[in-house]
Amino acid sequence: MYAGHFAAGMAIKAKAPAAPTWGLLVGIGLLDILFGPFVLLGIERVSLTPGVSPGFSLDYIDWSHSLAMAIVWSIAYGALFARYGMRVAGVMALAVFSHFVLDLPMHPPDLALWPGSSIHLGFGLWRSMPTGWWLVELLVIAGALAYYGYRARTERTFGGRVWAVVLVVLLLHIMNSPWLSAF
Amino acid sequence: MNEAGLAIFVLVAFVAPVPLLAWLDRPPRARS
Repeated sequence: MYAGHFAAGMAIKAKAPAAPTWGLLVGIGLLDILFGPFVLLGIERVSLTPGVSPGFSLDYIDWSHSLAMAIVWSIAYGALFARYGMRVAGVMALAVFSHFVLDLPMHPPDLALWPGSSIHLGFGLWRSMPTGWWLVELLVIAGALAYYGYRARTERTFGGRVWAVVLVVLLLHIMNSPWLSAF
Repeated sequence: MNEAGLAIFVLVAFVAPVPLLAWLDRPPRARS
């Protein structure tokens, strides 16, 4: 999942307007922000699979994406925001963990329970629905952004440009479509 | 693209939209 994570971040913002938006948006992507350097450092492994959806195989992502490490990263990231108060810190932790939850239906079983665990989670929509996964993610985006837009209208402390946010997230989703993706 | 390129691509893809979306999320302007 890609743009769906950003939509989830905006929905979390709508639920907890006191949380800084930039922090939420970094949080929802943190596991993949860690994945990049971990691959470059040789800590994790990925291989390209041209012609096989989604175009790559996440061979070992236990340190960024396993269930146990997702919990660790969530708590660590939330702790960075303790000065905003416990509620905001908790919301930040939730934002990080939402990444694991949203990845679960999409990933083939490559999400380990903990680093080195032989048990891997993932319902595999990327593989079983090579184009349908994009529509499933679109539903997630629609639901999350509908909630964001509704709350922005009633709260008026954030979301001054709801339609621009919707446009940007949809553009990200289109760029990640199986018909346009570089993978 | 190779594996390192994919890793950098993913990193940039998750960081680059953050400033724009955070900026667009500013509160609506007060109307007088």
